[in-house]
Amino acid sequence: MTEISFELDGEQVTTNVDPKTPLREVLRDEFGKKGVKSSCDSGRCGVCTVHLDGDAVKSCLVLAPKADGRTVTTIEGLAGETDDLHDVQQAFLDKFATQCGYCIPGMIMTAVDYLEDGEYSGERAEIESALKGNVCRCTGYEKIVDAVEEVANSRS
Amino acid sequence: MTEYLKPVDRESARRYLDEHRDSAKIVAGGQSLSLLLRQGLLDPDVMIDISDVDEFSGIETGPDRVSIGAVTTYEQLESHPVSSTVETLGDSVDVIADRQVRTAGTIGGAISHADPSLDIVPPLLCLDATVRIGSVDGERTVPLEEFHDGYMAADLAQNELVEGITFDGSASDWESNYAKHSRVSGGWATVGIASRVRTTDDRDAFTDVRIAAAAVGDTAVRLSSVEDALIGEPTDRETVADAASNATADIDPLDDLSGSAEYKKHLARTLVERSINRTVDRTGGVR
Ligand SMILES: Cc1cc2nc3c(=O)[nH]c(=O)nc-3n(C[C@H](O)[C@H](O)[C@H](O)COP(=O)(O)OP(=O)(O)OC[C@H]3O[C@@H](n4cnc5c(N)ncnc54)[C@H](O)[C@@H]3O)c2cc1C
Repeated sequence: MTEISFELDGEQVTTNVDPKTPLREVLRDEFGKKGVKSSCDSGRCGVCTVHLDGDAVKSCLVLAPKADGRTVTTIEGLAGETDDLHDVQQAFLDKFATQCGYCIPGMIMTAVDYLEDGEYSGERAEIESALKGNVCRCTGYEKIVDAVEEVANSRS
Repeated sequence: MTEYLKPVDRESARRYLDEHRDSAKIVAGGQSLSLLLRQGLLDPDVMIDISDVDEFSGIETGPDRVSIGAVTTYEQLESHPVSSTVETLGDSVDVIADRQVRTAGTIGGAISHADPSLDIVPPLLCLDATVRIGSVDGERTVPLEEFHDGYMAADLAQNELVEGITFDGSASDWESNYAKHSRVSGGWATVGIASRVRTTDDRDAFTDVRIAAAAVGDTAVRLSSVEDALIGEPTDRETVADAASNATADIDPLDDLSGSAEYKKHLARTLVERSINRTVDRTGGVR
């Protein structure tokens, strides 16, 4: 077993893992972060996307020891200490971007990374490209892009 | 239980690998390795995570050499000026997977994985890139073209790892491109074609031509039949279309879920033509 310690949604945590375990399993099973969804098991669908030191990664493709000494943020910690929603979460609500909802945590984590990673144009084609690693099987893409576009425009 | 080692310098990375050899697996970004572990295709006793080794990280540009460390991520390459100066590299990184995979996936991990469909390989073949390989015995270099010596196979001994890749990126009179077709945006290439050319000053004729293809056989390959048909020839669309029809001489695609061999041959001809024309356009276009 390998001991790993990291900051998870604002809290310092430590656990022992088989190093072959993906971070997703540790987040869901060890720390109850069921907001991190689980689906395709092949890195295609993006529902398990979290931030590692602020960058969006697919937690099913990140070996758990890679989190050691770093900061992991899930959808559950995105809004921080406040009871309010993060502005990207709020925009998804306002634009009716949520259908069944299963892809939304990953979708939002990727969108936040895109919006916080320096320069963006906010053009729809660029947003679509930024989100291409996240699949919505309700095919609600138009509303999802509407939501991200709204935040892009309101922030710039 | 698997042991997870995290060397912080080149010496210890080489030493750990030498101690554990085939019972060890190198971990870079883990983007391909995670899948192999999950599918039960691998169960190493030791994993050696080299992503914190400084000597393997980053991009160095000298007057005539560009050197990319093995654990440099696609994302780092994408945001480095070399992706604009050597356009085929920038074009390629732009169409690899998605931002999450590009944040974690590394150049060295890709090259070691040796999948014939990797998008980064054809541009590097057009740059005559050299792979830097390390072990406790020191460093050796191998041309990338020889490094991939079979389907998913790389010329690496049990105690050797890829430490970086080097090419000459100085010549500013070259133009280049990467053209890819995949079934879904961000998906693996059905076929991918890189081209890199130099023309006479008046842009009338090709003086140097490099073309390479991904997903057309056991390894990515240079398309010398197309290259030979273009050197010294005019840069017009018709000449390019004729030369592109030679592409099938150098490739041996498989029938698989991404398409039939026949379809991929057709696609290769089309993408060769498209990629060369785009490259010619970047030189300022046909006069
Ligand atoms: C969902 C998804 C989509 C993808 N789409 C594309 C695509 O469109 N185009 C494309 O080109 N690629 C694509 N890829 C593949 C991607 O390019 C590779 O997964 C990635 O680059 C591998 O790098 P890594 O650092 O993650 O390697 P790892 O997964 O860490 O390693 C891969 C293999 O190489 C070995 N290894 C790693 N580094 C070294 C080294 N320095 N020396 C010796 N051995 C080493 C490992 O032991 C392992 O066997 C995709 C991957 C995923 C998961």
